[in-house]
Amino acid sequence: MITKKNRLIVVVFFKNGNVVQSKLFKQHKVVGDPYVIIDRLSAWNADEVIYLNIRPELSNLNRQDKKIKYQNDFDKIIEFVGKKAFMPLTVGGGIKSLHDVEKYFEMGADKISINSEITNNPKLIIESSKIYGSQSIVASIDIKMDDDNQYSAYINNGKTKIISQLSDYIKQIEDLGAGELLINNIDRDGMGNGYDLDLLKLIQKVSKLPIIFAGGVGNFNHFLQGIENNLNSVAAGNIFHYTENSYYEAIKFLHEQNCNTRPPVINFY
Amino acid sequence: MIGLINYGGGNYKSVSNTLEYLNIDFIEVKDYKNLSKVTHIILPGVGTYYDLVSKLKSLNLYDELLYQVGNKKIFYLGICVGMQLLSNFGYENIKTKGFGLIEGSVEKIPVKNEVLPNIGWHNIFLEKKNSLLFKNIDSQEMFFYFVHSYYFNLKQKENCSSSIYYEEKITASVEKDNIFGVQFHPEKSQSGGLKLLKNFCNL
Repeated sequence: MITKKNRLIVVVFFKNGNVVQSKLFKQHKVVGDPYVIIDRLSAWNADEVIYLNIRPELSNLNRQDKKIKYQNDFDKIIEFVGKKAFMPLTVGGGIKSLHDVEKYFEMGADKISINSEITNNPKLIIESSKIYGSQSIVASIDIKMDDDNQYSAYINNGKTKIISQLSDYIKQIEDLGAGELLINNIDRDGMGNGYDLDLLKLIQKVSKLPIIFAGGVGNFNHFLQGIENNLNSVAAGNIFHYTENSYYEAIKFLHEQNCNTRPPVINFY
Repeated sequence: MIGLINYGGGNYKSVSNTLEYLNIDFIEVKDYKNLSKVTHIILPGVGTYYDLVSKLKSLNLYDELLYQVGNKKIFYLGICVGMQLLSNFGYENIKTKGFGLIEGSVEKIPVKNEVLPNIGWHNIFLEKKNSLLFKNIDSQEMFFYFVHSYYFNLKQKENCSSSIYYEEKITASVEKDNIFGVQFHPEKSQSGGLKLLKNFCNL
């Protein structure tokens, strides 16, 4: 008997305090009001939401002097969302210290997603997973295929390549104490051409941790393909901004396809 | 009055946000002095069994909490590790003595193929049909969010109020007289979770 459900997870990208759609980690189009989106996610009974801040200092159109302000904007959004998110909330982007980790937990985050500091400051994962438990520390890995057809992990918003082999990198992350992997595929980001199922299979082979997989979803069938390939937690960002009630429609579709999701619901809070 | 324990490092904020949303009055309990004022106590927990025990002890809350719940019979709701603490022993990292209010021990989930931690939504099924904690929660809402690698291995099955399967059958919630515990996170389980918290506070 199986009681566990597939998770359909919404990744919300922020830049400069705005909700954005992302393409290939380079182009970002403003699509929404950060304060409204949580109400919609609640109404749809979203399984889980991940708020990621694309740091201004890592994006192309950068003004260094505005960077502090933008981080403040993001914090205000998280504080607001924390009060209304009666669903699992993961926060990431620019987490550099235990102070940052603590700050977002205190705002109501359930999990913290760490990306660049896996390499820059691995002690952060060790310490935060000791204090808050492995289950609340998500290692976010951005992956790109190199010219020689090998997958590599990248940090700093897709700008810095990790030299070690992807499988070694994932092993290292497990040893540091992360409890879950958030895989994003740079090549598929915003392309709508479906998940890279070869990459999924590779990660499933290497890691025993729960996997959240994102990058490439352009229609609901792509979620189905993930689930059919033993992926418990399918995630996407952009697709949820295209149409009205998209989350509801997506979960309804998966439910009708006999996926083991929760039933579709629209609440009125 | 409802008391919500804040021992630092837990998910206090998530639960306090939820109680505020539900318009339920509560006081923050940070040391033993406030405990005597409350009729209901909620202990939210994340992190390890050992950490929770040592933090409660360092705040001088451990003994008083055990006394109030065990002897004075105030209503208790433990969330996640807050539920696990009701057991005799926890085996996460190091063997640690717990409250022993409900017999059993907290052990790693014995999985063969499934991944740990068990993160996600489960459709729970009731073992106690008339449990007051699950009153008015309809079948569409019987989905709760779990994040754990350890589970409460109960000695007496009658203390189990709901279960899930994760290869093996696993305790999802416990209930014994004035004592309640949930392995899942009601504060993160949308309408079903909100109703459950309301039910507890209305006891």
